[in-house]
Amino acid sequence: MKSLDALLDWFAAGKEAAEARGRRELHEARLRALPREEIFLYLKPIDNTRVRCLEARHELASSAAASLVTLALVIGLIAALAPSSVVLLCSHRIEELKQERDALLNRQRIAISREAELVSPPKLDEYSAEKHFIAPPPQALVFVPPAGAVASSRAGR
Amino acid sequence: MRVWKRFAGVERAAGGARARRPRGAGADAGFSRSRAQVVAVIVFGGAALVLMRLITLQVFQHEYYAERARNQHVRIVEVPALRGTVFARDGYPLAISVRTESAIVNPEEIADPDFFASVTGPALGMDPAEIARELKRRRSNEGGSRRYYRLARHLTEDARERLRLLQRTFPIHFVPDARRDYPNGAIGAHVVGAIDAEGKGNAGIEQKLNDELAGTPGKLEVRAGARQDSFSSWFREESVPGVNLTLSVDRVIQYDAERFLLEGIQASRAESGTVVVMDPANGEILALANYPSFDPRRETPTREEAAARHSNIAVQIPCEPGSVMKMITVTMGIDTGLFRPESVIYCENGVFPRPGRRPIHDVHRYGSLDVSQVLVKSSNIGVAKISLAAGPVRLYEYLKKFGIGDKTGIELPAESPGILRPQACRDSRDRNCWTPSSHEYIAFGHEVSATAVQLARAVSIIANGGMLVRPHLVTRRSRPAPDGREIPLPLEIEPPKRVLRAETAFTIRRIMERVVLEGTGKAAAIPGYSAGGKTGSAQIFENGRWLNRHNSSFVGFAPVANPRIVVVVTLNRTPLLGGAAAAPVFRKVAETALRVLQVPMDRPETAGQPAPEEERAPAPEVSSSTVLLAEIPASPAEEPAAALPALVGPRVPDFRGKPLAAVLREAAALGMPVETLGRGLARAQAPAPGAILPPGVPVRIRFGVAP
Repeated sequence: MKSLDALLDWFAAGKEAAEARGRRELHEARLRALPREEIFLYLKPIDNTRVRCLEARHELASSAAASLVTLALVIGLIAALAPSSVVLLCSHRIEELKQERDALLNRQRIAISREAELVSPPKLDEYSAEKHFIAPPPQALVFVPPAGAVASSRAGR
Repeated sequence: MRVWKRFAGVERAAGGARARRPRGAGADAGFSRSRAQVVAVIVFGGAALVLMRLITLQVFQHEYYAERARNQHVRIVEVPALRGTVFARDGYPLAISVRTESAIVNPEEIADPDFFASVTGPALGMDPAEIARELKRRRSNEGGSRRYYRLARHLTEDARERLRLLQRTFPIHFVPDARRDYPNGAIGAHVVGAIDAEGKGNAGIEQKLNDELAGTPGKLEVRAGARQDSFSSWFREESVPGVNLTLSVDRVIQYDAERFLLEGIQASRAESGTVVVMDPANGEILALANYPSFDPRRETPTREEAAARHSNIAVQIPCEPGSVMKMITVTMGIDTGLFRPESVIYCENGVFPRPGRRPIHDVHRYGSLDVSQVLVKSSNIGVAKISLAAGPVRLYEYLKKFGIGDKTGIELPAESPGILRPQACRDSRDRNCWTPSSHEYIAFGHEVSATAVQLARAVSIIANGGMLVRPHLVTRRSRPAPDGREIPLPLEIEPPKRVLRAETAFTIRRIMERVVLEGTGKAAAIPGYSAGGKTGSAQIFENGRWLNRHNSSFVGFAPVANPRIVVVVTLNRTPLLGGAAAAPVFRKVAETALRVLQVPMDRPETAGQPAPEEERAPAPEVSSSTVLLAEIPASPAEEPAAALPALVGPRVPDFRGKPLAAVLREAAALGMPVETLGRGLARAQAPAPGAILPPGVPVRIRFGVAP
C-alpha cells in the first residue's frame, strides 16, 4: 500500500508540472491588448401601440393538443397508479383495524377474566359472609323446571 | 475515491505531454508497443482471474454465499401464539391468557445505572436500589445476561405510558408478552394446573395438553442492515392460537369439595386427602380436589407448593383401598352366580384360621351372615370365603373388569395405574405374581393399591348399571377464529363398555344403600336423598410396625335409584376410620353436588338423617395383633362436637291471612322451609313474624278456613 501511494505521488508530481505550464501560457494570453475597450450605453424608447398580435392558429392547435396529451397522460398515470395506491391505503387501514380488533379482543379477555374472578365461588362466599347470607338447607330448595317443561295440577282435575 | 481522482488527473496530464511530444525514433515505438502488449497481457490476465473468481463466487458458490448473506441480514423471530383458554362447565374461564407487554433494557447501554434506577423505579413502583444493583451486577458479569434485563413484566397501561415518556431519555424497549390468569384462584389447581416462566404447562391439564393449548407460534421475518438494525419486517406465518378446552368441572362443586376436604382433614387430623366427584353415566369429572394444594397464580412457589404442584394425589398416588375392595369381591360372588344376596356365610366367630399362615380376623365376632350383611358389616372373613369359593382367576378377572391396575386415561399428567400384580406366575422364580393366599387378602383390599380416580370408575360401574366408563375432564374442544368466533373441533370420547350384568349392579346398589342406612357408613346419609356407599380403612405399616394411622376412604353414590354422582373421599394418615373421617366429607360434598345439579329429592324432605354411628380407631395393642382390620363402630365421644350454627338468617315474614300458594311462593323466594297444616288462610305461625330463622328450622304454619 505504501508503494502504491508513492506511485500515485509520483504521478501527481507530473500533473503539477503540467498545470504550472498551462498557467504560464494563460498569463501570456492575458497580456495582449483588446481592440475596443470602451463601452457605451444608449436608451431608446420603443412604441408598442401599433403592434398587432398575429393569429397563429396552428400554434394554438398544437398547444391545445399538447395540453390534451399531457392531461391524458396524467389521467392515464393516475388511472394506472390509483388501484395500487388504493390497495396500499386499504392495506394500511386493514392492518390498523386488525390491530384494533386484537386490542379489543384482548380487552374483552381481560374483562371476561375479571368477571369470572368476581363471580368465582370464593368471592361469592366473601360477599355472602359480608351480607350475612346463608346457604338454604336442601329442604328449602325449589328447583325451577327447565324451559319448555309442562306442569300439571291435580287441583284442576 | 480521492486516490482514484489523483490517479485520473495524472493520466490526463501524462496524455497531454504525449500529445506534444514530437514523433521520434521507430526503435522507441517498437519498444513501447512491446511494453503495451506486456501491460495488456497483465491487465487481461488479471481481468480473467477476477472474472474466474467472480464466476466461482456468483455461479458455483452462489447458494452458499446467498445463504450466508440471508443469515446475516434476515432473521426469523418466533412470535408466540396466544395460549388456549380453559373453561369450566358453566362457561367461565378457569385459565385465560391476555396479551401484555414487558419492558427490557440492555444494561450495557445504560450509562449511569443509579440515575436510571432513580427515575424508572418510582415510575414502575419498584425499589430503585434493587434495579441499580441488578444492572450493575449484570454489567460486571456477575450473573445473568449482560445485554438483557427485564425491567418489568406485564405492564399496566399507566406504567407503559410512564415508560414511553422515559423512552426519549433511556434505551427502554417494549416486547410482547402474555399473562396467564387464573380467575378462580387456587380453585381446581390440580385439575387446571399451572405454567412455568417459559409458558409451558407444569401441572394439570396445562401440562398434559400443553401441545394443544400452546398453539403454533408465528414467524416474523426481520430484515436487518450491517449493524443489525432492522428496517423492515413482515409475517411469514401467522401464529395459530391454542385450542380452547371446556372441562366438565363445576366451579361450585369443586370449591365446596376443596372446602369440605380441608374441613375433613382438620377434623380427622389427616395429613393429606383427596375428593373425586364423577358423573357415573359418562365419566365426566365434576370435581377433583387434593390437599395439600397450591396457588397456580404464584410464579415462584414455595417449596411446599412446588411439591404439591407435582403431587396430584387423586391420580398419581395409589393407596390400599381396604374394605372398599369388598364391594368388588361381593359383586364377583353374585355376578358369577356362586352366591345370592341371601346366601349365608359362616364368619367363624371373628377368627378364620388359615393353615400355615396367620388367621384372618374380624373386629366383631360374627357367626353366620348373609352376603349382603357381609358387605354391610364389612366382614373380612365373609369376603375371604367368597374369594376362596370363586378362586384367584375369577377375582383377578373381576378386578380387571373394574379397571383396577389399569390407567383410566384421564387427561392429567403422570397417572398411576395402581398396583395389581399379575395373577399367573411366569415361572417358579417369579416373585411378582400372586401367592396362593393373595386372593384371600386382595378380597378385602390388601396387596392391591388404587388411585381415587380408579375407585371412582369402579364405583361408577355399580352406579350406572354395569358399564365401564372412562373418567375424563375435557368435554369440548374449539379453536378461536380471528373474528372471535369458536370453531368446534372433534372430540373422541370412548363409549361405555358393559362389564357387569345390570341386575347385579342393581343388587349391589341396594346392598350399598344398607351400608349407609344401617352399616358403617351412617355418617354419609344425605338429608332428602338416598345414598349408597362403602367405607374403607387401610392401616399403615411403616418401619416394621403397624401404626395407629389409616388411609380412610368412603366411596359412594346418590341417589340410589338413578345415581347422578359418584364421590370418592380418601384421607391419608388419619387416626380415624373411614366411617368417621371420610363419610361426613362425602355427605357434605354429595349434598352440594346434588343441589348444584338440581337433582330431585327421593326421600321425604322432613325425613331426619339417621344418627351417624361414629367410628373409632382401634387401640394400638389391638391393632398390632389385628393385621386385617374391618370397620369398627366407634363411640360418639371420639367425634368432635359439632359447632353450633350462628344465629343468622332471614327474618320470618308475616304469613298470616295469606293463602297456601302465596305462602309457599314467598317462603320459596326467601329460601325458607315451611311445614303447613290445614287448609284455607294462614292463621298462626311459628316462629313469630320478625324473628330470625335459624338454619335448618322450618316455619310451621297452621291454616284454617274463614268463619
